[in-house]
Amino acid sequence: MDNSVNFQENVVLQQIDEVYRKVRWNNQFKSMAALPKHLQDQINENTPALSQTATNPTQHARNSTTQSTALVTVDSANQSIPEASKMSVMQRRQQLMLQKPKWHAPWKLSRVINGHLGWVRCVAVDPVDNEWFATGSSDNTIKVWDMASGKLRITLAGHVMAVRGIAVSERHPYMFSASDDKLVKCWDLEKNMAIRDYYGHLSGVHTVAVHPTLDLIATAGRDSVVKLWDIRSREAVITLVGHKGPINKVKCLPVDPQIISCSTDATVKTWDIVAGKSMKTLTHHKRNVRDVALHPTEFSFASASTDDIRSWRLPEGSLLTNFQSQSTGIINTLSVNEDDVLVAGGDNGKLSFYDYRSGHMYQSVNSKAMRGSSSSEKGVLTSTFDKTGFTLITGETDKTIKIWKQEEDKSPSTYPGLPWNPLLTSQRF
Amino acid sequence: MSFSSLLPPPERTKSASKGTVLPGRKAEEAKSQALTKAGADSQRGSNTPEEASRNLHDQIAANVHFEDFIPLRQRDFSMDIPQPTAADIQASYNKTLNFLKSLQAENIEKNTNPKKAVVKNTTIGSRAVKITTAVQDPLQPARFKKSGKVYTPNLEEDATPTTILHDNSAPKLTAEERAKWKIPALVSQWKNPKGYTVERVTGNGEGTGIADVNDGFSELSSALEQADRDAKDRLRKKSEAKQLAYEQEVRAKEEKLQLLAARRFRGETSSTTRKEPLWIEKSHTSTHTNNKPQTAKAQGVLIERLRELAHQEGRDVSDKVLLGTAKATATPEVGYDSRLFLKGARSGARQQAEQVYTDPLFAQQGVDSIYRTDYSKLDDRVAAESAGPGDDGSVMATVGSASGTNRGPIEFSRASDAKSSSKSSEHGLQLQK
Repeated sequence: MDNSVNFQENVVLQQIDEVYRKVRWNNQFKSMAALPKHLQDQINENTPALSQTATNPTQHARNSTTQSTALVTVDSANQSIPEASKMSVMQRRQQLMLQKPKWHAPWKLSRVINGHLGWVRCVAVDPVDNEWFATGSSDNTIKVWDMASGKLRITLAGHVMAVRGIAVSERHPYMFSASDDKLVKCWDLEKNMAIRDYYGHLSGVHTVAVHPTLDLIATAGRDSVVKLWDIRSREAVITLVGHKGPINKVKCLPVDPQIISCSTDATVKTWDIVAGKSMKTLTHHKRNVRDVALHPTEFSFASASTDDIRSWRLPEGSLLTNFQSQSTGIINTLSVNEDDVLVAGGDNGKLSFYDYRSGHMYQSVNSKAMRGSSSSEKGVLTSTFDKTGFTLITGETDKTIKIWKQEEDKSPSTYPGLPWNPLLTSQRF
Repeated sequence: MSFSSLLPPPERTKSASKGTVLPGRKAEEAKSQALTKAGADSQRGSNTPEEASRNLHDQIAANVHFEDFIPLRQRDFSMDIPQPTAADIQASYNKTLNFLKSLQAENIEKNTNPKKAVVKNTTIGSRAVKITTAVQDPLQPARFKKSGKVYTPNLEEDATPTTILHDNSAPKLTAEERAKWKIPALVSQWKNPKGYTVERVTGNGEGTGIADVNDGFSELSSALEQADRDAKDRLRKKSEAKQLAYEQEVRAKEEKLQLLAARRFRGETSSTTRKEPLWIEKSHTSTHTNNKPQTAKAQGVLIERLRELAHQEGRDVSDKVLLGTAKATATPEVGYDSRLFLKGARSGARQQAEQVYTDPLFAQQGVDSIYRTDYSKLDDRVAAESAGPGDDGSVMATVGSASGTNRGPIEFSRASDAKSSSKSSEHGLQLQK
């Protein structure tokens, strides 16, 4: 009897021990089972391709339960979407943790330009020479500034209400402006005067974009339709109907989807202009989508609503990245440069800088309101990178234009940036 | 076969041919389709609401995939998404341009070439029907006004419903929360035709809201008030009791005095009882022989003694009072309170420490007795007068001159003096003498 009892006790103790060991392993050491991806990449680079393929099966055989990162690198080229869905949430998080976001130099304020008498609502950069930029303001004027010196070149008056959107054409000497007074104006940059009005919107126009290949402009506003105008004949060629609320931003692309629009009805729509209807409606956002930004070198775009920035792959509009934007508040504006830096300007004056590919927020700066303006006037309303991508121009509610530059003397060792700590909420929906 | 189906399509609605019709008609059609569909479903025997909802869920589930929620770049940040090639761009350009051109051509054709009258001959039954388009003036202005309404898209046009891919379970704003954000209309300080009332906002003005007045404040103030009232009440009772005691004491003394006086008077008349110490033995011995002058003289002595007694108590008592013949002066009925006089009398006692004014204003001056005849002095004066030759003979004059040391607030002077003084200072303009 005693023997059997002792034996049972031993078995139970062994079981407890086993469970404890397993739990401890899972909690503490599981993440170390595989080499981080950037290290593995380096090793792979150093070892010749033949030996790589030779080692991988052995790794697979030895380590069949836990997935090897080497395998991942091989698979990633031809991975398919269903495969991703098979992975558990924790596995996907681990995958995220094993990768390292790209380092970017921090940004700092370099110049403040005063001159406007109202909120600076929109900004556009000269697409050809990168020599000037234009800003539209709530004081009904458009001002053109010299990029290098920051001096005012000319003030264009013609609108009778706030100027809400500006677009400069690459292929014409024209600039287009959209205003709350329901008009879209075409400015001749050689004569510095308004030469055409596009009349037809039923309410204020919020945004304008120039088609990169066709002689069309796209405008949208409070009447929740996107109108495409023939530049020369001033006629509304196509009207795209579908949004349920005022449209905040319109972008034009050379291939389908040729129009992307975001609206206060919390959706982003991609449009097929030949069919005259929307190709896809992205309903992931919960709140007013205030801005979309196209990536300059890659076929994707980002969209921002309150506390939520996402990027999407084109042309089909599938989700690419959830950005670490859980507590950024209302986001007014987004800009992306070629160096994969995405900047989000908040309604509370907060500028957050993200790595576009990983969605890692590496810097967060508060824009200070100018002296003489109240603390509530510190929102960032609009932003754009110049053509080089090294200068960021923002327009703010304190009536100033601010110019931000990257700190060139910083390195990854002196400025590590905010920590890379992806939360489970990056899997949010 | 209805008659309208024979008609050509409406001229100005090109969209009708493409399948999009007026929203109203669309809705009607949708209804009729739904009805027929429902009929078909019922024939198949799956018309229960549960089934319908399940069908809807199935439909949504068919559109939603788990992959929609998984960020693609999460696996590999270096994933490449190439820009469209020049060929793609060119193809897209050509396609769109052709479409736009076709639109333009349609537009031009419609505007320039007036439509030819279509003549269609058909037969309904035995009748021959000829349908022609009415000829219209091409320059005729549009018969229908453009409405300024914003066109609300009919979202049921889409074949499949748009699936919402975000979690919509967040709590909705309640009416209370909405009310908190409501900003009241501006109320002018100068004009107020609608009669709004401005609610005064108390607080520190920093947006912390109105500081509620605690109930404790009102309770405290009422408690303080109550305590104050109680304390006053107690004081009042105490002072009343004291006053009562004093009055009793005074009354007792007066009674005693009156008793003495009455006894004395009675003894004078009956002269049987001689036990009182006030009686003067010397006078008693001589009463037997000469009664009348003796009694008069004894009375005078008594009066003197009584006066002395009263003086010791701080009172001046007249002859008449002493003799018990004093009567109240025949004054008309005046409604005043006798306590007013008692107050002055009581002032010396200082029994009421709680009083605001501890002493009467003229206590030192002996206000009560200023105009009263000082009998002792008067007697002295009379004696002196009878002894020596008097110059004036007027009582008033003697009083006035004698009371030089103890004068009242009003002095009396002789009329001749007043006349002489008034002569020296005449009012008004005077001639220089």
